[in-house]
Amino acid sequence: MSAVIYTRAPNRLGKLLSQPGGKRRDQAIADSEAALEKIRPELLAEIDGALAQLGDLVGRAAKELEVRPEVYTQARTIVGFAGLCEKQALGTVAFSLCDLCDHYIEAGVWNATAVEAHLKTMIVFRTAPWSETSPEASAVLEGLREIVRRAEEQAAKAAG
Amino acid sequence: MLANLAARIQLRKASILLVEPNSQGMNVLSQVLMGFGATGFVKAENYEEARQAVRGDPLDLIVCEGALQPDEPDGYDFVSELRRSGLPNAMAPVIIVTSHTSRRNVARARDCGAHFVVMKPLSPTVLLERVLWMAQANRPFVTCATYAGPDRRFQNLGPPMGVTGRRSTDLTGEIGAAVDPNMSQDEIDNILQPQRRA
Repeated sequence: MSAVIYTRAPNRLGKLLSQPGGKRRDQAIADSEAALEKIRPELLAEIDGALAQLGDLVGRAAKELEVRPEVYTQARTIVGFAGLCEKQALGTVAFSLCDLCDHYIEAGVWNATAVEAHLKTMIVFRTAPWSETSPEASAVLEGLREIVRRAEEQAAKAAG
Repeated sequence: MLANLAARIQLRKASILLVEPNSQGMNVLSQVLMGFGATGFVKAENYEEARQAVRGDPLDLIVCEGALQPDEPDGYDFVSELRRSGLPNAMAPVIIVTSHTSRRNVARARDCGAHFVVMKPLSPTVLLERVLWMAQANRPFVTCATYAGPDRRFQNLGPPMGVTGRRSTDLTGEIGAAVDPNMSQDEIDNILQPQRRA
């Protein structure tokens, strides 16, 4: 059996947090949310930049293997900011694209139709005023899942 | 300390390392933590800058993006190296933030020695809860051949029934008879939250 060493580090963070003064917890959270609200235009610009980059990358990724990780990176950027800009549905699709790219890159495959369907859906959700739970958003997400399912089926048939 | 943490937080003097390659991502982290009252930040955009930063002054908190620049070690590698570095900051509290919480990424965060993983988009409520949780729990550090970092076990259930534990602190499954009556809720509250009397 290998040796296991237990150490108790000094709790510097705990001591600092409990110093007198500071902020009430609810006030701290409210201040953080207000600060995020102020930078929302910059975050939306970042999302738009990532979508523009994806517009270029998705077309090339079918043939250029080295571009595929960049598609994943841009999708990840959108996930990180969409929810902060009240674009939860956009974030959901971007997260799905992350999963898809991660799986494709790992497996050494690529389904251009499925990836492109994600990009088009994200562009729709960027401008559409729907909430994630609205019937319109649900219908679009359902359509995306169906496109991806069919594209995967076709790819499996072609490979098999 | 626990009673005070429940109501107020004081982060003004905290030294916090933020590791985030995306400039807007860094902006989000800074804004959230400044909202909590933090003012002392050390910022690193990549693995090498993060490595240099932990060699400096003591850090009270590290918030690190899991994915850094492509073609270089990532945030999980950085934390893993930090835990075995022997530096004064080796046991600093670490929160990994990541947009893509795939099973693999979460497992990597757990195994690299981070205290918590927080999913992006960053929620101030969730981040503050995790910071308070780390401060209150102050989990012991475990160092062995395959892992260095905070104790990953959240529940101390002891060894399975009929099995002798490996640790000196393991309790047996046998429960003895109570020697004192149960405490009332008032007695418990008085112990946990001492009140000033007029």
